[in-house]
Amino acid sequence: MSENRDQSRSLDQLLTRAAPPRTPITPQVEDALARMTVQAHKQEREPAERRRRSWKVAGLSIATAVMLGGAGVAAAATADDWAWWLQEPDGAYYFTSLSGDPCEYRVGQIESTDPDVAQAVRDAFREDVTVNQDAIVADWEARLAEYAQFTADQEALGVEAPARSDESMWIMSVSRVVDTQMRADLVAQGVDAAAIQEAGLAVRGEIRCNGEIVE
Amino acid sequence: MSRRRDHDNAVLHAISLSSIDLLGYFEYRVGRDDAPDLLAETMTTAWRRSADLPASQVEARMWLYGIARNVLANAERGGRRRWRLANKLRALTTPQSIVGVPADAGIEIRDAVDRLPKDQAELVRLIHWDGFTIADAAQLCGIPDSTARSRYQSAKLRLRETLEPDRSEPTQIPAIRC
Repeated sequence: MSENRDQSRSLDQLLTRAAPPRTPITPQVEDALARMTVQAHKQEREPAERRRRSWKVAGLSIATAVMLGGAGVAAAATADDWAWWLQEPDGAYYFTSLSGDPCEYRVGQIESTDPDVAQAVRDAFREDVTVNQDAIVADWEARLAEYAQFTADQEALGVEAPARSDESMWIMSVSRVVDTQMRADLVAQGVDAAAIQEAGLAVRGEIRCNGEIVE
Repeated sequence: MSRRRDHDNAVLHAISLSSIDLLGYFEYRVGRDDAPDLLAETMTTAWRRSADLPASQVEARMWLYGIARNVLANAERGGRRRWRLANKLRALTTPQSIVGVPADAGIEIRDAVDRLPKDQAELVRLIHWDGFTIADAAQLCGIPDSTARSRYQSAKLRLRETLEPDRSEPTQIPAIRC
């Protein structure tokens, strides 16, 4: 009887000790958990609030200024090295660079003289979306053709055209595809693009490939 | 203070009290890389269903684990995704951050647990790794206490046979139904 009890206790101890190793709970982990709890609330609440907003306006084109690159931001960054204003971005898009690297494009700091306009644009950006590769290729090829024509025109005038790498034009195509999609979403929501143009709009963004910022 | 704010604070408090344990719950089952994402999904679901949050702290904890179990089941069916809000935590739960216990310590026991019938294995994990009583584990699994006790004893007999074949008597294990 006693031997059975000892065996059972021994097995209990073995089982308890066999728990897989887990993350040590440091103040950093506790802080991350606390932030996650609050952010989960925010994330859960957002869609409902977005649905509640209505827009009275309809139609035009929007001029957004997407400024790529963050001056002075260190390279070799990890996911948490995004600029503070991109830690919780208004939009986050994934794509593959021309050379095959995984990249992420985040947008944030959306500013307008009209707060409703700024909010409409925030709502139109999406998170965790993979940018349509075909759309990037189509835009990029059009850009290459345009640039070839521009270069030829400049050379005919005896002027040397500024050099642009295929990769940099690919990146520009990504931002244009995202911007075009965002505008299409706004129009679909019935947002008056004329009002947006009148109010003015600035959108900032950064692209990182393999964790390193793309200048 | 508004009623809404009171409610939000109650949810926040409940999740905060259990978040460390829930992280462990997922780490034990899916590993440290995926655990933060499942925790993020659990937190988001808890907020979405916060109207159902039980008033008592103990019940609130069980309620959160119930959500976690559903999230895990969904992930096992292929419904796993990366949650942006888990990024910071994921960076802290990388294997490099683990010190002390070697990764393969107890691996033989874990293998034996994994080879148990699924329901028995989960009871063993809930009791020995997550620290639940048999009664609480029964509640989480949605089975009567008596069933949980019987399954748990069956699990231990099997484990004893596997881990200490020379010391245990051959035992006929009854078939386990879910």
